[in-house]
Amino acid sequence: MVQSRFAGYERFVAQNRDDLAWYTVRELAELIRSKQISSEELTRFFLDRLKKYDPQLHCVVTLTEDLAMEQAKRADVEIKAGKYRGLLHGIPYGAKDLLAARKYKTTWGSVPYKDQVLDYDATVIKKLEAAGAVLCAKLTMGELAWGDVWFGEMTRNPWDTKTGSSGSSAGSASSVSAGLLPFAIGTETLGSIVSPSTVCGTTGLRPSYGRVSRHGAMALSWSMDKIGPICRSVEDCAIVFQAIQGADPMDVSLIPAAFHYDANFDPRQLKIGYLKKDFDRRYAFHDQDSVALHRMREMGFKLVPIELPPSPDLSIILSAESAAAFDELTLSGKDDLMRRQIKNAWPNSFREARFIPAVEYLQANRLRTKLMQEMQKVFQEVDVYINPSWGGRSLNITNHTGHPCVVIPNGFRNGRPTSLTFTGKLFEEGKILSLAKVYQEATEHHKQHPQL
Amino acid sequence: MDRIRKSFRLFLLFVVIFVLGAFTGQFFTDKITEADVRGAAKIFGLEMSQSEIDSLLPGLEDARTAYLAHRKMTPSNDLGPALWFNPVLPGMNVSLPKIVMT
Repeated sequence: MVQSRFAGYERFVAQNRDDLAWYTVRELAELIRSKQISSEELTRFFLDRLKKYDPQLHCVVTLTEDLAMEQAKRADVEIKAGKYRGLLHGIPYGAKDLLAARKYKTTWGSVPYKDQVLDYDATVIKKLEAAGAVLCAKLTMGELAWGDVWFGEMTRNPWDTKTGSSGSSAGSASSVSAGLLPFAIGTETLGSIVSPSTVCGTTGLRPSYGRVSRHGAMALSWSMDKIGPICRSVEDCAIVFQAIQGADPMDVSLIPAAFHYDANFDPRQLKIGYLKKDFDRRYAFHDQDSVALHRMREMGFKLVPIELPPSPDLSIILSAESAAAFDELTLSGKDDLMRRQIKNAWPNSFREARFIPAVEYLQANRLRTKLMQEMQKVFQEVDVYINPSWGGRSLNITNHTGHPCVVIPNGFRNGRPTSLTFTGKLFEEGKILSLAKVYQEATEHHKQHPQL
Repeated sequence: MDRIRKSFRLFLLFVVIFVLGAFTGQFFTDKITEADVRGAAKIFGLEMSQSEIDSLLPGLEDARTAYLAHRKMTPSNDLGPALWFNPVLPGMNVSLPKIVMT
């Protein structure tokens, strides 16, 4: 497929150069590997797009142009010398601005930290550099990883620029959706990859807890934070995830586990569940999800109805951990500088959390262990299950139990994207990716692009 | 005349700051009372008898002293707690790290 698309590349470039914006990492990698385009040329192309559309989308905190051009030139020299590092070599990308990158600001999207410089590279940034990727921008995030409001103007949804991109990986999803970057790094504590990917129509992987090093990443919740890719396709998520996951002596919370991904694996071999009761409800994406399930059955997938176990309200865990992580703001009064001061925002949440007794925090974590045991029973019945991205309990449960998921676009509602989520066993990202890939490649939703 | 007014205003400001400062400082060193505990117990959904409350008052003051001492250490965001969440349950098989991508 890749070869045929590039058969007439020179003619294509002359006539439709702007379409490079919508190429997947896999496709761009083929152009670079075969030297049909240089990394420098590609990097310049995406930097120009970032500059052109950021005034509309407000998705960039800092352009890392000097670093990008340096990394792109290095990639070209290496590739010319026959030292091809792999599929990310020479590919531009952006990182949510909670990942430290030397010489550039790391603002966490927040007024009290808007001039902060952490003079080292986060492990994810280092791993991507080692893979030859080119860092073009540090992208917006909802202030301290909540929503799409930060110290600049609200980040926009490229499909409807009157509305926000959602968050907190706001700039990551917005920029990839608008073709300003081939991929970006986001993070999720409680929906921050799934939610903006849904709103902006991108494909996101929220890995298992303990998969990707958080060294150099802002801590919001030590027991819930996860880092993952936001891309244009499921296959791209696998490519980026392969590069960023794995060992790092700087992060003791990492759990050693294999990543098995076989692009030729037939996911019909998997036991696949679906949350029937959730899908039967009337909710925003009901019609698109029904069509998706019908299509999967047509493709030969046998879907087994399952239910998730009862789940206690564990919200005090995130409340207590985040309040501890930012206690400095509460005690110093610097939280007054933050943009959102409504009841349902960090400053009030941090103060509220001061009234959570330590005993209750630990009791909640014991109930969390029970929930993990119950979820283990679910995954004795199925390998993967399909769930509505929003509304049900799966997003909340799995962010506490550490299970991974893949979110992909599955249609449109009122001109804006809808999405479907595939959730899997711990450290079995490969199987979820295989299933989501086969379904995605039988659809065209991820190939639709917003007009700016 | 203007200079006298200005000095008087400065004096008033000094008095206000002093009183507020004394009040704030006192807030953290005041004895913890039975009423305080009853108020806190209401917030936390707890019920305690008079004698139970009496017994825990000195411990609460010690704990508050410790909280204030801890806060002076102002840990930065990159300092994690000595408690590590692990989603892996006993008996769960996790394949050893070996990247397989075909």
